[in-house]
Amino acid sequence: MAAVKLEACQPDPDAPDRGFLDVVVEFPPMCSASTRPGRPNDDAHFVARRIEDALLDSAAIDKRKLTIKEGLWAWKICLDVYCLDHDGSMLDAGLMAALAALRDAKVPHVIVDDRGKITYGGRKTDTESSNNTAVEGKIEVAAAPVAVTTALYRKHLIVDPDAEEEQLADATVTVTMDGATVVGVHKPGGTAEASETDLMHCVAACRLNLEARAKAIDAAFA
Amino acid sequence: MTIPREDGRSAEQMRPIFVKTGVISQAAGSAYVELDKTKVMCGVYGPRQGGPGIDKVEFDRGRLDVDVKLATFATSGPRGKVAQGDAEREFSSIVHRALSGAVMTETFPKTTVDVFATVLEANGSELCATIAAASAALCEAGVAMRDLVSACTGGGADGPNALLLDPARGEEAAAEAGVTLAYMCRLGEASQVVATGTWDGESLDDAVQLAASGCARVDAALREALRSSVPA
Repeated sequence: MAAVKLEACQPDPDAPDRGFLDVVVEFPPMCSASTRPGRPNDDAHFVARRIEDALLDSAAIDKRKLTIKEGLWAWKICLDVYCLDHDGSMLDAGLMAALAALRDAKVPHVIVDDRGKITYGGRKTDTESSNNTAVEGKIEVAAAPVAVTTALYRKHLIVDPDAEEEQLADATVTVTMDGATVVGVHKPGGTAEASETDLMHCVAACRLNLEARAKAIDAAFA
Repeated sequence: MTIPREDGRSAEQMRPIFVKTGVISQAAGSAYVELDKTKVMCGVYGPRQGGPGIDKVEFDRGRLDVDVKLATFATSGPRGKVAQGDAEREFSSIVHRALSGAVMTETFPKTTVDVFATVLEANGSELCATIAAASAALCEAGVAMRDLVSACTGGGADGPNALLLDPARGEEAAAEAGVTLAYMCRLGEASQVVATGTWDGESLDDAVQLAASGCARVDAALREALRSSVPA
């Protein structure tokens, strides 16, 4: 489950023409027996970084398009992904949820006046004045990266492993693709190394599942 | 007496309630409860060995651990407020007290049962939804309980004279007084009553009666969901 909140904030002085994308992944204790209340899960940070990478590397989100007024105001996309039931391949599901939430998000109408003050929720008709900058509508999501996790277990490759399979697997490989291009390949450690052919198989697995997952997201908006 | 409400309900009408059990594959028992826009999910794990420390282990009974989390997107406004942690702690202790009267801890001595809930969206009465979800999840997990605990709030913006059942977020914020009742319907026992605001004896009685009628609705929904989750 993912949600998007937008905050208007001052852009980084080093990059005045860019907004921010802040991805947080939460594994609440409810989602699996191994997560305990208290300290945040290391996995959560890992998954969050991978989702952020996938969104930026595939150019799904262009930080430059998040500017409201250069050097003064920019949108910060706060993307929260919650794992409700951790049954493996969290990155795959997390990225799908993140993309769908971004596509669904509505950007409020804002007006920046001459003195640089920002007002929310202005009416659309307020845009006559040429000094005012108005942004409204949707976040532009230019690409649809899809992640597919494959588990390596002895000589076998298991596509889309569940929690039990993930636990038993020697290693997992997650391939992120946008259309025909590979955006990322991640193999977070594990006790086995993945050979070149294994990796090629994983990419192939991603290619096979790509369309079905993209369709699933599209279906949600139909 | 008719008071116009946000969503066009009558004063003594609850929002549509939806209950589904078995929603978390990893948990021993789980439930999802929806009161219109208020959405809560709860998972029960355990019993597991021990507790936080040897001095806290009781030998003739078990422990019930409750942890409630509020999703950052549960309410509008900027995320990551400091107050969220406080609210979570308060919620956890209220839910714990509401359930501890019903859960028969003597049936799992020296072990701990964990109740973890996440409020996905908070639009009023999320506490009641959490208590209901937790008791359905405990039931699905097969934890022995004296009765299902359901909960409901009655409160009013105009004080005790104009009571509203199951207030939504806006009504809750405007309410000057309210009673949250955790009630075991079959036993006819209240496991917890939290009253805020000033009441006189009679109106408090009315409020509790009103909340109890709401609890009966919640109880029926919980039982129906649990019954339909069992294969015939």
